[in-house]
Amino acid sequence: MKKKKFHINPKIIINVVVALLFISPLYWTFITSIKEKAEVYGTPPTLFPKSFSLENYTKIFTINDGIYLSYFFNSLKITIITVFFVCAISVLAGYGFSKLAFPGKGMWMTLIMLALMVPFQALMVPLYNIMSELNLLNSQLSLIFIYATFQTPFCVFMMKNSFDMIPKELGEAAVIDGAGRFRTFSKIYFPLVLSGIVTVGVYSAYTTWNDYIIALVFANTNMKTFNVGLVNMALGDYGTDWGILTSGSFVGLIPILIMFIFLQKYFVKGMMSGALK
Amino acid sequence: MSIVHIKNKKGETLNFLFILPAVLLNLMFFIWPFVRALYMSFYDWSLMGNKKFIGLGNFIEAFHDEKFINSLIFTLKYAVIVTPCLFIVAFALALLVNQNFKGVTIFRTIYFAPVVISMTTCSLVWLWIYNDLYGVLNYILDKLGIISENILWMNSADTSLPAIVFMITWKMAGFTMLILIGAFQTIDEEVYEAASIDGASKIQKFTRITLPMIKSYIALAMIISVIGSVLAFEQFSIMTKGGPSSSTTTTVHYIYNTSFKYFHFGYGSAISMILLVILLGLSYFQMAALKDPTDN
Repeated sequence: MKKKKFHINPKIIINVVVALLFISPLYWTFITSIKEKAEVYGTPPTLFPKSFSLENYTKIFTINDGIYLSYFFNSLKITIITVFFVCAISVLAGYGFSKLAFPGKGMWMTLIMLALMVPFQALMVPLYNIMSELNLLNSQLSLIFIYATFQTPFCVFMMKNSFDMIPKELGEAAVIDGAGRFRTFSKIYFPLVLSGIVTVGVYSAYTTWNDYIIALVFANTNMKTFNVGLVNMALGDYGTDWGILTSGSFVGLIPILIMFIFLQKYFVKGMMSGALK
Repeated sequence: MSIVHIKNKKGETLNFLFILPAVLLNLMFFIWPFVRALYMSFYDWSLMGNKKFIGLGNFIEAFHDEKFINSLIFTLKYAVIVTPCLFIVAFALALLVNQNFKGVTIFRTIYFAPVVISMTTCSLVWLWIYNDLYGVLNYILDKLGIISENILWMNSADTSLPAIVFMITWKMAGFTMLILIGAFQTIDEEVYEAASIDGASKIQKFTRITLPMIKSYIALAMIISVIGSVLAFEQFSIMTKGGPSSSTTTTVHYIYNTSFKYFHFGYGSAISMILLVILLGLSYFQMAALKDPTDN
């Protein structure tokens, strides 16, 4: 009998080593978060935890009457509203720019595309003044408005491309059959651009959840978002609490990593079109 | 003429309703602040409401403001260092996962995963890795005999800059890697086959075919990295707080401090406009790189 030759591709071995290196910062964060305090602050550091304790997790959920959880839910609420808002606006505008005629179409398109080239950071000062005049400073509404404004140009662009790929004849046939403009939109086009909508939604959720600077400028007193609140808690005035920092970071990672694992295709699509816009 | 598009005025007005929400948002929170930023930059405008027109005063001040110039120099230095580091690592990763073998998607996913984690979380996590007393990096370097005493990574720009560049390379290489994988896939297999028939070696194929054909993607990846670096804020504001003595303050961080710590809104707007001009210049190169990815 011939012995089956066992052969491992050297590329796989290199990949395994590199992948372990890539995961190691997250591994180090996780094991720190489940160590007892004495072990976290022990020298030398232990690469495999000797103690096991959930005290850092109970701590972040109970400290200051559960303020960490309120940051978490603030961000969750803002993210959900923003995603809904951005999807609705960009689907409507994408459809309008792709399939409908109206006066000044080119001009409006140029205006919205202009915003693609200007990042928030260049306009944060006048925006701060405007929000203060509108009495919206330190409100969730100001964050939702700004997230939506700086996310929609790209999302409108994505949705316009999705609608462009659907032949015009499809809609015309529906009109001949007596369907109105809104019926044509909801019954014919909507199902065909669903994957575009998911891409836009994932892009919006990821961008909103991960934001730091916008929330830092516009909501840094009583109503903090998760990222701003976590930095404040972890690097507090009384020195850094590494237990809180690692457990808090780890909990914040989970929603976005779960989303990434299940919707990877849409993440990649959104980010790549962002780069090649 | 299409029958879907109702051609009378009423129909077209109704059509406009589809884009109205996007237009309103754009006018309110993009065009208005944009116009206002230009306007504010010509004023001495502080929190207490005393606004005085000073013409180009803010811009003249900016060019004499040593802290602002230093922030620009530091930001450019960071961009110039981080871009090649990121690119070389991303290129190596792209070569590692370009071929199809069992499990290749798992490795791609792992290399891309840090991209989706927020910059805030990454900064906190790496701050813990770089901790001088209990951090894992000093421990490992000591074990390997590379250092003999613990390094205080965040205490000087000489050590914090490379440390942060290393962190960003870990975080962002997966993104550049994907652009490069996409670039590799644009090359037709037949080109390589033809080259093999002509007796080209592996290295020749790489330098004579692969590199020239993905040149514009390489340029694009680099420009995206430069633009991202010019906007750097979180990693420095969280990890070094811009210090010691403003030596690691980026331009965005300086705008933030000027405007929201000292409330010099007029001056803050003026330096924002200078930053914008730099960014628009870079965007121009980005569009030029994209114009025709196949033609060089």
